[in-house]
Amino acid sequence: MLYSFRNPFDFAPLDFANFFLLHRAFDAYDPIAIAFVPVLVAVALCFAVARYTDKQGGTRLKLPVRWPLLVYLALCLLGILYAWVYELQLGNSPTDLLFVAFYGVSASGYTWTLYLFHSTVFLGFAYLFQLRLTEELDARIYYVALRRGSPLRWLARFVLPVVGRAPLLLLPLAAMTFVVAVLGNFTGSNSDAIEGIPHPGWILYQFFVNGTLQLLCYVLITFIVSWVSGRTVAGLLALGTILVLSLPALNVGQLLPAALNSMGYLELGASELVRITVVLTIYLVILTVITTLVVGNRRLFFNERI
Amino acid sequence: MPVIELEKVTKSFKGVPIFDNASATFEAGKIHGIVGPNGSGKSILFKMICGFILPDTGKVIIDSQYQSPSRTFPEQFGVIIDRPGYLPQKTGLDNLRDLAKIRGAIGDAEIRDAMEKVGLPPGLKQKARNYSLGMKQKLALAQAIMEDQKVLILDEPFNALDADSVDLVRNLLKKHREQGRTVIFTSHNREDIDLLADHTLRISNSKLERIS
Repeated sequence: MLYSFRNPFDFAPLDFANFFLLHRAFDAYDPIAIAFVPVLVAVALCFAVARYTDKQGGTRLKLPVRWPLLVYLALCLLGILYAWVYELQLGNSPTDLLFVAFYGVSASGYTWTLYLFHSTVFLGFAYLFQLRLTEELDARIYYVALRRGSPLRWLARFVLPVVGRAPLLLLPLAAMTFVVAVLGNFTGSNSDAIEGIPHPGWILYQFFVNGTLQLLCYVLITFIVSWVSGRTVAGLLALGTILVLSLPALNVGQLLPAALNSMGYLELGASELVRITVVLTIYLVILTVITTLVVGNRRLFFNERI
Repeated sequence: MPVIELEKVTKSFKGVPIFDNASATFEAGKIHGIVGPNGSGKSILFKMICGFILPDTGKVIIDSQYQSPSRTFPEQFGVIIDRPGYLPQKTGLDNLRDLAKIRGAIGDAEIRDAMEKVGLPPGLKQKARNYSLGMKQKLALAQAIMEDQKVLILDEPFNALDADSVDLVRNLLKKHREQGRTVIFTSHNREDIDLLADHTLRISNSKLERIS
């Protein structure tokens, strides 16, 4: 026999968590290496598709322009509804839903679906930025930059509106979550979520302050990779890489800001949330310096795009 | 007096030499035609003139009246360089409004006037993505002239234009010259060069040779 399932009652390949979580993979597969095969095949497939679309002239969607935004918002809504059903099934309270939605992790532990939801929210925002950047670079960079007068002025006017939009995106997400929490027919009181939280305001702080900083980190990473490589598909690959590296099995030291939950835990108190803010701010400063350097260096970017 | 001067410019891309010690001057109030085979470096030359890329060695000198300390790129230059210049989901007029807003120097009247000058009806409701190739080219031309630019750097401005439009643009460029402005353009059509250019430069063997 080539391999065996440790638990014969579970059909391991159908449970995605068995590929995402190391301890689940260990429980499900013998030898554990089997768990990595589908993941590696999927990653190789993604790279092949990315290379193919790049050769075909890029990744521009042939869809109406607003479709990616609509699909993105629909996925966000789906994530909130999923979190609602998830908490409802556990008999938990509305507070648990808010906890999951704002904090990015279930109080009862890590779930890959919630991880995917938050990855969709955060990396999806960076992907929308990537689409906008692709459009600008492909269509009119020279005409806009010439009128702005300098590459750095172009950069500032291109990126700063995104800084303003990040909290604007988080705001309706928060509003939707509140509505679902209030109208969600919660009857359970099995709440274990808020224990240890210094003040409910800290949940909002985590969501809006750290969430915005995290979004901006992703945006700048996407920008730098696309700009330096001269290939917009590289930005997509960077986002995919972040998604994979942020998986708990790999993001052991919680060094990557992922899904709001990987940098620390709310139960550890306000100081932990402030620590996350400081770390994200340091990331952001470093990324801003790199962005300024690569855009200001005309030997780097434009040469690649000749 | 030269508006633009290239002084011993060397430029290579991925190890392939494009320009090697190339020098040239572009005088004010003249039309300069650039010829050369595909891939000879015409677009690179234009990008260097506009400051989008830097030469490896040598200098690109722009007349000081087109520069200011706060700018990296020259002022009052209108360009068409290997990008379409429009967002496909917007109308031609809206695209030009977007670009005009950056400087804030002109309003709708000037934008409409520029569109009419190149033969593009300003009232068209069509999105730019549905434009024909010729219409897209006219839109690019309109953005290059709409702010009353004093120097035009045009890469293949006659591409995809029908015969009437070619005449229209030729007359436009001649009028530009009569007003003392400078035009540098590339074309694969010898007739455009012969009819318009006061001076012609050929890119050959990584050099810029003045042939007329």
